[in-house]
Amino acid sequence: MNSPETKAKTLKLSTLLVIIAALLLMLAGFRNGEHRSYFQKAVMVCTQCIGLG
Amino acid sequence: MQAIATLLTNAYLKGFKTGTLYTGPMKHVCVPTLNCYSCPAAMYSCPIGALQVTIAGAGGLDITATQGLWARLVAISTSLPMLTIGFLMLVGGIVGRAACGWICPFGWFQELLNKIPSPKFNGPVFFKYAKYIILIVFVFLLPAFWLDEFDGGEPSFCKYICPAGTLEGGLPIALLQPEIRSQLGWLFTWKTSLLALILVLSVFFRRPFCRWLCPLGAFYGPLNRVSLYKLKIDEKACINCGACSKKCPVSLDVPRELDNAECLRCLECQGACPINIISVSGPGVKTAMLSLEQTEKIDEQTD
Repeated sequence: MNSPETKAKTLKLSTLLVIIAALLLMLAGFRNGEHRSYFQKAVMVCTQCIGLG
Repeated sequence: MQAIATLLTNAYLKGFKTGTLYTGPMKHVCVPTLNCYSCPAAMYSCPIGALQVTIAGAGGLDITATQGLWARLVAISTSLPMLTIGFLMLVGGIVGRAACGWICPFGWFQELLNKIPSPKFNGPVFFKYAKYIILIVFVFLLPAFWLDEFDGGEPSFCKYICPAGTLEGGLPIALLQPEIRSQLGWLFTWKTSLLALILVLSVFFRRPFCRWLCPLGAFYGPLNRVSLYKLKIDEKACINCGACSKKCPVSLDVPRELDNAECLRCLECQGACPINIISVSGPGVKTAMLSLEQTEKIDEQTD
């Protein structure tokens, strides 16, 4: 059985890994210009969203 | 708090008058909650919409390279929605599902409806798994592989399910733009019926959409276990009165399920605890746990 301290350390490490991975993904997505692709969609009425098809 | 967040994310009120959308630079940015970008007042993009748009390749993906399954897989791998996935992981990694509990406009609307006096129910527990299926099938798989005649995908969750989109985008646009209203058909009828069903259910069940159907909740939920800010309970001091569980909007057994993927981090349990032993832990937050003397005093009083 893991002690509470070991569990807490593992948890902190996984938190850190999630946050680092998130930041790296955001950076990569930003470099790919992903924000521009959904900007193009977001400034027009989305026919699917409003139920037009 | 939820009312303020709704107003801040939907601050382009002029749109309700003109029936047009905000087209400024803020729409490059997603909010961490469901917030339809076709709402005339929306200032930001919806992360679930952004995920589907990127996967479907509506903007940026070279659709000429998508002939055949293998080519489609290659195209998808090079246009994964990394920015949106990263953003959602960051929010979930820091606060778990707190965005659902604190700033989601549609969650707030369901909460308001639940205040209508009526019998209240919990609903079957297994319904909660539906949101994971919706996330995988409607947000990832269908936009990637169910292609239209131009070989592009479509945002299937927005198209067939999203009641927030119907409420915030579909209904206002239909009311404000007669030319669009005249073209509405079975899909609008289906989506409006689904919205009506969810709103009626919200009167009797707390947050049925958040608990059973929301793909964003499915994304954030598992991150509750690893998030930087968490809920903590002083288990030794707990008197098992059940006040926290009774108040929980998602019917958790709070003392034993603090890190559960269903927890919205709304902190209602904290407010309900008569001896104040539930607290938030994380960087910069001082945990005010009871001292041994206080715990013993409570034990004496409750024995």
